[in-house]
Amino acid sequence: MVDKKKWEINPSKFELLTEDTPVPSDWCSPDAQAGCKPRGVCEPNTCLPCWPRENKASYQNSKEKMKQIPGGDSELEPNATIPKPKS
Amino acid sequence: MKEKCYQLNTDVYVVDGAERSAIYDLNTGHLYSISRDVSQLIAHLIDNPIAIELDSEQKNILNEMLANNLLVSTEKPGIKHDIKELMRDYPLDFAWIEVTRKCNMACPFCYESSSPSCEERMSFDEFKIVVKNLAEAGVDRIQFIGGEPTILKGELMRMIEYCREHYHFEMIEVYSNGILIDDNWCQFFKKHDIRVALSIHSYIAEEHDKHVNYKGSHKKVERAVRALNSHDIPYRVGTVKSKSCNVGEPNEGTSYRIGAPDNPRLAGRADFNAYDLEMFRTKAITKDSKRAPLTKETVTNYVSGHQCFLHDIYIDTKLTVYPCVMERRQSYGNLKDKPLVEMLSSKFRYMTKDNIEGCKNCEYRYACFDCRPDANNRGFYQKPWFCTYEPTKGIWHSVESVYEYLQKTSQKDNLSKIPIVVE
Repeated sequence: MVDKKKWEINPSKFELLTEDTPVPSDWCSPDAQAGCKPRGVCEPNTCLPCWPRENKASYQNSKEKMKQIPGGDSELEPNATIPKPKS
Repeated sequence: MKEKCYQLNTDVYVVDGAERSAIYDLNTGHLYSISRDVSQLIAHLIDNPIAIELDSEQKNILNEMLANNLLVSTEKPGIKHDIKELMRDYPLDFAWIEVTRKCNMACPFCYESSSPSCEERMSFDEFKIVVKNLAEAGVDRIQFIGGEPTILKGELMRMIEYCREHYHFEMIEVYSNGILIDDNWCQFFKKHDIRVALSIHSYIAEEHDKHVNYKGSHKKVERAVRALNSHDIPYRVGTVKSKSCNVGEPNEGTSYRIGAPDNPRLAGRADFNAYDLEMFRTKAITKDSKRAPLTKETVTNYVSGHQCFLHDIYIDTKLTVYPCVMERRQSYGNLKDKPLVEMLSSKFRYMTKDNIEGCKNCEYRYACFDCRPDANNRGFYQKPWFCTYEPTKGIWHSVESVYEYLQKTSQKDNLSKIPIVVE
């Protein structure tokens, strides 16, 4: 694992841009990748109408076992009680 | 001094830009920004068995690259890896079918500029041509879109029944504003295994209604949600943000969730006025937005062709085939003139950022999502209007300076005119 702080090279010469996995907690999905943005503002592969190519978690009441998105729609199990909003 | 040879590790690539370069490490997902002299050092290390004296900084860089498995020692002068070696072909797998342009709403941000006065619609015989072509091309997921598909009523049902009877699409989805979805529709959807996408832009009825310019629409879409829930129809919610629309928060009785509101794509009626600085901040391509690790799958896609056009197509009511539901500046042809399978070699499917002015000399061009229709009135091959990087200078402009520039002149595309305020 690369630790940015241990690099002694001038960042103008050599700089690590990405953060190590796991994906930062403010990212929308464990599958976040180049082009993704923090949760809530992600780009088309998780939004309309270029709906999720591989991420079926958007479906809010499907009985399929789907990939989980932290804090996302997939946390809603079929017929689950909707969690209360943040106070 | 003993000569040493080096090469880039497998799945590690150097991509040169106009001023700087980048290392893509697809083993770890790391993306590095490197200066031109470091790129030249790497090239030299690969090309030549070296016994030269490196200065202390070059030694540091070499050691770091070895320690992080970017470079590896070899017996002989190394093999050159070119990122283009990742190229592969992809099958078409998804199609939007515009069965009508007519809509019972006229949202101000609509990419299609649909409204109740749009009369174009696809006939049933034309629809049969469409699905035949899609099946021949191997497409297994389709979405009915408009306009508002459900205003076709029985005709839409007939189309769906025809699909289910004659073909084996893995997924059929109807994209709807929810105004007309009731128990009858849900029974039909259930019977034919149809998924639904709903446009809901706010938890607050007044905000939603104002956003779409249709009083009472939120109440109707909530009725649709209740019907979908009661019939256990899988549905998702699509939301377009605007600076003038407060998404709000769900309350205890809210039976849906707005997941990831989409920044408006500047196509159709949408324009830059939908953005305030905070929205633009989340939209902009910035150095910070490069934090997410790369995946080999994504980079392979970006190297091979357009990340959407490779997989998706859009067919309008006249049977003209386009790369995307929002991208109608380029077409592949018309299904009445030639079969879809003959359109799939189109250069637009295989375009990469090597084809984009302002991106082709950027070292991040294979690590950057590309939405062509989100053009803000710019040309088809222009750099994204929300990119803050200037590859010819190797600098990131501040989000604020780019936003201010766009406010003043959103039609132009010359970042060099922006006062340099580097992030």
